[in-house]
Amino acid sequence: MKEMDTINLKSLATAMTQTAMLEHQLLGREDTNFIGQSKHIGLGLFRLVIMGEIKKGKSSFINSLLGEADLLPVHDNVTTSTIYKIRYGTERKYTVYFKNELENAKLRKKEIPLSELTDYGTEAGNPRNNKQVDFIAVEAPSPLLRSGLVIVDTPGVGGLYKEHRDITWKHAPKADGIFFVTDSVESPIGGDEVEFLKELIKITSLVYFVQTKGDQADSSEARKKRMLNNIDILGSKAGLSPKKISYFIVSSELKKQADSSQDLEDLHDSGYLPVIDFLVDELKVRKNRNLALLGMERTRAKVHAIEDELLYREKVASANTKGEQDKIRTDLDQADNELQDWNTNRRAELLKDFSLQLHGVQTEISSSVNLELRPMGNIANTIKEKMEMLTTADDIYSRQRQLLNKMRSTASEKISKIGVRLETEVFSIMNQLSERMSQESSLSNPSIPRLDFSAKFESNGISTTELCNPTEFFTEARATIYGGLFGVTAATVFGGVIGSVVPIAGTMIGSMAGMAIAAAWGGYKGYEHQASMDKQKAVAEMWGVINQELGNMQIIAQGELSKAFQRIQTETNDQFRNAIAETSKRIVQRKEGLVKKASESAGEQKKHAEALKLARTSFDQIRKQLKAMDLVLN
Amino acid sequence: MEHYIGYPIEQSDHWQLQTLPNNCAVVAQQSIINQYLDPDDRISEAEAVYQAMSHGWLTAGGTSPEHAGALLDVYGIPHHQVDGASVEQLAYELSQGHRVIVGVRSEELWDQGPLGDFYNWVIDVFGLDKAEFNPANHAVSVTGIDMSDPNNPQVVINDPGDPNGAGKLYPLDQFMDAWQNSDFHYIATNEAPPDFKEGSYADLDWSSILGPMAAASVLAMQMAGVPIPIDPVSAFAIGSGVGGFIEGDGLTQETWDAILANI
Repeated sequence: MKEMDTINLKSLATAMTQTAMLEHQLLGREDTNFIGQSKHIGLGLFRLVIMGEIKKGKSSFINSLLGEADLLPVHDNVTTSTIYKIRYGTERKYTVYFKNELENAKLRKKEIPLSELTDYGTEAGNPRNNKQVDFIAVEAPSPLLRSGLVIVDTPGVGGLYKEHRDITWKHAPKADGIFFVTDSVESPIGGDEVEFLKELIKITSLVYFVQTKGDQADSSEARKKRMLNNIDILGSKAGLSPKKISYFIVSSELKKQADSSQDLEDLHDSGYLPVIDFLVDELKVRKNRNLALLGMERTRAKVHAIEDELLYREKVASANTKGEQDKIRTDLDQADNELQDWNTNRRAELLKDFSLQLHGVQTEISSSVNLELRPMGNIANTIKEKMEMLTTADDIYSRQRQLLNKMRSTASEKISKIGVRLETEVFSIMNQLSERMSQESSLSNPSIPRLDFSAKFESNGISTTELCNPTEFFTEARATIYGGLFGVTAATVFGGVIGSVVPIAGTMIGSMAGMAIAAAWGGYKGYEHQASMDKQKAVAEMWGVINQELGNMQIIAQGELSKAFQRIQTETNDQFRNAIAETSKRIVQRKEGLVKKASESAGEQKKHAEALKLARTSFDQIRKQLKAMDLVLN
Repeated sequence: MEHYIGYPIEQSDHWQLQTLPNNCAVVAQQSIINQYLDPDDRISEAEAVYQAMSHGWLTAGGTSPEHAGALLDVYGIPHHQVDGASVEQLAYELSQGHRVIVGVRSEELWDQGPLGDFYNWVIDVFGLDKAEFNPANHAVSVTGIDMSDPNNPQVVINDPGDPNGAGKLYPLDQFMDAWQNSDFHYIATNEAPPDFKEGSYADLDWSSILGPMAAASVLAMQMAGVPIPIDPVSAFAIGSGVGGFIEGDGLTQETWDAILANI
């Protein structure tokens, strides 16, 4: 057995669920978002996207990878024309999801038998996507999928239909890994593929290469020669570093045979073992790490509040004299007064400062977006320079697709970088608010130990759209019962704000960038031109096209930005208000609890004491699990 | 007179010796899987290895703990994993006829000679975290606990890495030392095999063993999907609906629709 250095997401998910149960028991709160998140994390979703030219064996590769013969159609005369999204299911199932015109319209879908798959998912059966298919969901009982893997099979990047290419582009930013498929038989990686890859690697570095049809090459030397040739092309023309390229040669046919006869030798010869090991041991582990960090962060935010309540209840349980109980009651009254005082005099001021800072960030980010995307802005001028280097109108029109793709990929790259900066800056001002809260609470009552809330933010790039920021929001806060209330206030606020807002921040990249990028790639049209048009007119026409597309992207990006900031502001205000209300409510409950304790029978007190012991044991187990996970992650 | 918790005698018939240096977890699972299948359907080590390798669960380095129950899934045997388990939990599983695999440090069980003994001594004396410094590297099936001498309980295991590993006995202390290296991790089936007959070997009073400490562990087990007859609500006073598990991956079709639309 391998030594224990792996991240066990299911254990973490169990610890999260246990935390939710304790939160419900001790604090009377049910956080359905958190519970949902625990299930997502336990699932360990990993998005693997398969890209490549048409007829390179992408669908065969997927079938063989999963050990599911004939799952996707692979006949010679079949060309995939839509996206297939493949996930685990206890039995094979195919469901067509149709495009919705309206944003919030109900999902339209239809389950179909395998015999009808080509009617919806291939060019022959559904020419130019007349049937308005968005994607086809496929369920298969493959154990590889059970670990949370979701495979996205895309149509060919080149070929006859540009819509296919646009579909493929939309999935690049969200992928946790991309296998780019080429083959051992037809030509090596060609011009179209190189051009595509050059733009792709600007959006994501998670691109790996698979050379299919290994059994159809003349010999193993021929296979290897093809591989070396391709790596050379990728290095010299696509800008990749040959030493860093992960490249695999496979034979789907041999894998199919191996699965049928369970022959280990054929399995080795098929070349699939290194691919599977790479996927399971490297790529998924990396993704699992990010998910674990997210889960840990969310759980820690709750653990603080739960511990505070546990400590209070343990103190009350051990206060057996009237004097001790009276002291607790007096301290509760004092804490209540201080909380109300803070709420009346300080909350509005803190939130106003936050709002001003947020507005500053929004203005700055909005300006950056405009600078890049506005018509006749930075990106437009960059493309114009390239156009003017071309000699004739024919040159310009023959390269219109390249020019437009260049514009889109540059815009995508810029937007993604702006999105990362946006997250950094929003987190920074939230951290400042957190620190100010900490200082406020310790100043208000000299007997309250200073609570040290320190949060550091590290951006981890744009390749994931879920929030995967390795943050430590709270250090060990020394929470006494009463200082703990303020600590809990801050913890609750930030647990809540971080929990609800940070997904917004995290999806800013997915939302703002994704929408803008998708709009650019989805809107492609070919532009025709008149023969013998002079160069100046050609430049002017293309200039108009470019600026129009950029303008569209700008409008969408600004719209999403504005929505995101509005949500941050609203959520922060709501979370503050809710946290104060909840803390007040808890003070009242504690006072009522004291009264109730005084009138409890010995039997009832014993029962509560036992329940408290169990809660403590459960809490300690959660702490232990978090600590163990910390060791693995660090 | 022998007095067991669990059913080690029946299980010793299913012990299997591993033929590869790194496939202990695969063989441990195979021996358990075959107890749930009809005799005509039982799988060989080669079949088990094929399944494990072709899905990336068995690599040159062996099987990682997170995949140590994956073969059970392939053959439709529901199971659960527990970290930080107690011996009471283990005993409970065994008494119910559940089949159990644990991660251990092989050097703590097998005689590794003076150098191995010295290394283990250093870890113990300096109070180092075993799971961190000397992590588990072997998988065995725990089949029972021999309580014939209550002052000297012995854990019974089927060890795929030991040529004489069928129904091997180890003092509880020694077993716990070895098990600690996996942070007391185990995988257990949710139910006993189909032909299981509840025996009368163990007539222990469970309420005396499952004290308050274990009741919390029982809750953890229930959350992991183990059907526990003991009602934790009376011990834990938790309202309904929170943390309930849904069959399968825990996500509804509506949730999957939303995930797929955005993926």
